[in-house]
Amino acid sequence: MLTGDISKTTLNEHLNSDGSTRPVYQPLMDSLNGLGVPELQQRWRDANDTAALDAFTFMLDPREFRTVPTDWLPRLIPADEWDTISRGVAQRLKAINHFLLDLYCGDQQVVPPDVMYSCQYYNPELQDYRPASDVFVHVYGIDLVHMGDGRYVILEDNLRIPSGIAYQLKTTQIGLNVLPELAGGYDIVPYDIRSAYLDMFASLCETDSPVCVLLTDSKFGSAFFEHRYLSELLDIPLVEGSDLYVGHNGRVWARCLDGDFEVDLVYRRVEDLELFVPGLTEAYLDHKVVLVNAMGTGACDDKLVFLWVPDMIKAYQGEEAILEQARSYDLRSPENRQYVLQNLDSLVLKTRQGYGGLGVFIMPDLDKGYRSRLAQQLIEQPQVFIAQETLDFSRHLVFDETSGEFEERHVDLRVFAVQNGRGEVTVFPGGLTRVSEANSRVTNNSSGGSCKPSWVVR
Amino acid sequence: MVEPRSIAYRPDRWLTDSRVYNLIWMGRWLERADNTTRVINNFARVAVENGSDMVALQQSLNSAAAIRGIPTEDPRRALELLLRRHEVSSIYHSLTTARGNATHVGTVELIRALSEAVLTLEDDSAMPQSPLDALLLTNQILERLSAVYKVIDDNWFHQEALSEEEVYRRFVQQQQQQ
Repeated sequence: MLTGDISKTTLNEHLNSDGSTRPVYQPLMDSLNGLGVPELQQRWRDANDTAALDAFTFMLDPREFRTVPTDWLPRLIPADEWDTISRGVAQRLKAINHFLLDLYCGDQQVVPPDVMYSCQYYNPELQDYRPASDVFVHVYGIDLVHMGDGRYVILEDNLRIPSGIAYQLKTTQIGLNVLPELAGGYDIVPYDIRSAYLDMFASLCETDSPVCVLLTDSKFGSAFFEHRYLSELLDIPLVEGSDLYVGHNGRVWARCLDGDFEVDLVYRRVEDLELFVPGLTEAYLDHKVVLVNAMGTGACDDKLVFLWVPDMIKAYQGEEAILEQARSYDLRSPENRQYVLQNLDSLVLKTRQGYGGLGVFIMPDLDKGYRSRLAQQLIEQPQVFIAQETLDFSRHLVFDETSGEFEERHVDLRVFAVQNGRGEVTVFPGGLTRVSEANSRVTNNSSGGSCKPSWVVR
Repeated sequence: MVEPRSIAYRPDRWLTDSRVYNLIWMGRWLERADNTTRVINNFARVAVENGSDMVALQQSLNSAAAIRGIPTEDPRRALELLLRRHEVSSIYHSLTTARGNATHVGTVELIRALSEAVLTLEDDSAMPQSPLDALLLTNQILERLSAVYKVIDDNWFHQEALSEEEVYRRFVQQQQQQ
């Protein structure tokens, strides 16, 4: 399935194609020059210290306290570019939600049944189940890359437990606090995550003031910072699986020293719900508790299902997709398989259920031996993979505070949106820019990438 | 009798199982860090008062380390082990583990206070070279620990927690003013 011809480009976010500075970046460049390298180095250290003090972490090893590697130089997105992104994300979220409703409660005709039923995250037990307010996707994360001239291309959707919204907020907060000069000359588009989340929670529950909790795997989880941060920001209890149980009335209860309390909504940040809270699935299916995100959303996290999202938009919205997505190949087809095997060296292979950078193989960056082993796997199990064209997406300046020099690294953009019970979508301006390591195109934090603040500017 | 639904609206009453578990362990690790710091501080004070050198201080600390289950075959390393190197009983380990528990229990203010205490031991150049250095360093750690206790006291008994919610509120306010 083809979704548009994406030409290869080499783009640095702050430069025009003729090498001149993009007008939107000019005030930022002036501010950087005004500060000078020694002052920048000091500010970088201050920002890193603040991150360490606030335990702004992303753990790769639970035994090791690791602050999120951050480049504090902001990425700038002009408001008109953002407008397209925002509309595209909202359109996609609504189409996916509609599809999931049709998948579980209707008779969807968009995605071939063998694709759907072979999807690891398809939940047959949800057949005929309608979630609260017909909303499956409450929190949505989408990975984009910039190809130049405001053209953003989608790499993948994140629908189960997308993480990063707190990282978006914290990088912006620390960056603006430590380097306020960089904001000079800009009108940064503000947003309010707290209100959007609380409104979303309230709109999904039947009671006026619902009791909501945030379910975390534990403080040893990689994104625990985000769990703690959101629980504190939203002022809702942070609970582990052992804190929750399903009571005799079929409702979910939280164990508390001063008396257990009933829970109306679980903002879950874990995948295997039954493992953490036995009986939670049944309570959910009996409509005794609301889950954010709903069960079953993972069906659209599948990298193969991704190929049909533009068709979902056409089918359910009656529109063409606003944002294009990376050209991808369904390897169940012998023609596609042959093409991919012939051009393997220039493509990206992804496992259908991979996440966090795992299961992503950028073939041009791998050695010959590794490539031939993957080719063999592809021949033996084509249904496990999809192939995607390798995009030469944009780079951004990053500052190395040790050497005092600027470097260029590949960057992507994870954008977050929430959908409330009234079907209204809020897309949070800016998103989280993720930065690759040197000589790599993988930007995931789990794979060693770092992040940087992103501002939408008017 | 507490009205069950009301508990969920009061952050100070969210004593869920996991929170209690982390609260207890945070207390235990803080106490261990505090005890070990006071032991070193005491020996260092005596050494400074008596005009003893670093070798004598290390030898005195060797037995204190042994009591804490730290094998010190080389007495010259006793101070280093107690401060930073030992995987279980060092002050550094106790503080970092307490901070881990605090991330589940406390507000960002508590985490900051504990991180400040941890930072005193992360600087390689801060490693004491004399009994006076050891005295000053442990005084500094005790000061940082006092700041931690004050935050705990404020948060638990006076409800003055600087939470991420408050940090965010101030941030939004600041943005609006700009």
